[in-house]
Amino acid sequence: MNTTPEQHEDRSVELELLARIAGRERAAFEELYTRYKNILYATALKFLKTDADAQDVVQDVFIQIWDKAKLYDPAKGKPLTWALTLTRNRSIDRIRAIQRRSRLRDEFEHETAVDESAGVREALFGVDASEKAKILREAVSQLSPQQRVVIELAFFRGLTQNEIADQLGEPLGTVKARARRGLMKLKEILGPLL
Amino acid sequence: MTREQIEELAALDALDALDGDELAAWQAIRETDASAAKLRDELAEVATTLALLSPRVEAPEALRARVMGAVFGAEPQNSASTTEAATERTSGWPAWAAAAAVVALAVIGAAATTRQTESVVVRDQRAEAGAPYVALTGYGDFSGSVASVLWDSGQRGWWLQAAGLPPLPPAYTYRVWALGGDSGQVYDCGVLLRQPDGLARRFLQPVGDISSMRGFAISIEPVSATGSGPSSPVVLITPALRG
Repeated sequence: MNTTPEQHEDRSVELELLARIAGRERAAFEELYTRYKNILYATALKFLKTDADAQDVVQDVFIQIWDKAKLYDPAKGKPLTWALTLTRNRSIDRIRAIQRRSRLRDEFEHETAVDESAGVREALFGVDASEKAKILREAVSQLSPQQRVVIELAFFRGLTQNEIADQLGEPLGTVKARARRGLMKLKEILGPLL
Repeated sequence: MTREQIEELAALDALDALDGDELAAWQAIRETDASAAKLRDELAEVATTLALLSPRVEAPEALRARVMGAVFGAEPQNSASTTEAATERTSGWPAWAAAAAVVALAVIGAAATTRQTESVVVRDQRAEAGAPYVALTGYGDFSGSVASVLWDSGQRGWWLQAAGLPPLPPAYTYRVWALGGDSGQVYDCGVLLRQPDGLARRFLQPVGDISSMRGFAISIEPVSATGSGPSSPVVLITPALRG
């Protein structure tokens, strides 16, 4: 995928920071923290909705970055993509843990009923002034509402294809097709920008 | 398998939504079909970009101190410092490598039954019912060192605190390990940075697939080391884990 000179420079700087973090350099870690803190916190907050949970997740992610920087593989994606993936995975783990506890308290059904309906409608339309986010929102707006919902439930809620099919009351094949068409469409639009 | 089916599986995998038999089948395809693996990675990058749709918010100021405290120790240091600088350098440090007792995690017995649930960990080591607490003791030149691990049910992790830690040569650091109760697998919990007064503190988050915990250990490792287990003497360890 092509990148602009500015994106290339960002990536080079971040790769260098990760290499220095792998060498246990605190100053590099602090610089990466400054670069990523807002986007990772905003991402965790979008998943988890509460400041306390989001802070917990961001803390975990930065600990992972410090501990695992040496294992980072540039071939698997950009540093920011790696950090966002860690944030998403930690957030989903936490959502699932919260849901497990909620089930134990017999409150699960109530919580999901309140949360899902609002979340699915709103999750893909957050306000962000950055140009990239603007382009991303435009790309997402070209998906059908059905495709957006499937991607939303999978990416932001951490549901599997079978869980999505159950939740939507749709055949599994329909869910698969929507995920494929939606993500392939986004790739087509966003590919040159990534 | 048709191209359309491959795209479906790649998209679902990129969204982390594959499950059941299809997940195993897809993993086998990815290992043998480079174009399928490449498509999956590209779609995963696209999917991750969705996180940028999050509303713009500023991370709280307090988060910085909290993160730095968790990674480098309780007291955040000045930004020009480095990990190595945070470790006090003294010339009188003993011949640690020769003197420290070698307590291999491999000989750890199954006596303890520490188990993590949603709210309680390390039950077997608790002094009393309300204190999810485990003590670590030092060996050899580290017999004056002590550490404790306390389960924080609010943050769902462990606070490890140590005292009396001797300074290490600049190229070495203390590292924390945890032993999974079910699998017996050793987990790397990261660096434990010693403060100049010999104290150290860090927050440990459950890692990997840990569902239970048998105990903890602290070893001395090269600063740049990462790995699946201690490469040098374990100097503090949960008493129940002694071989």
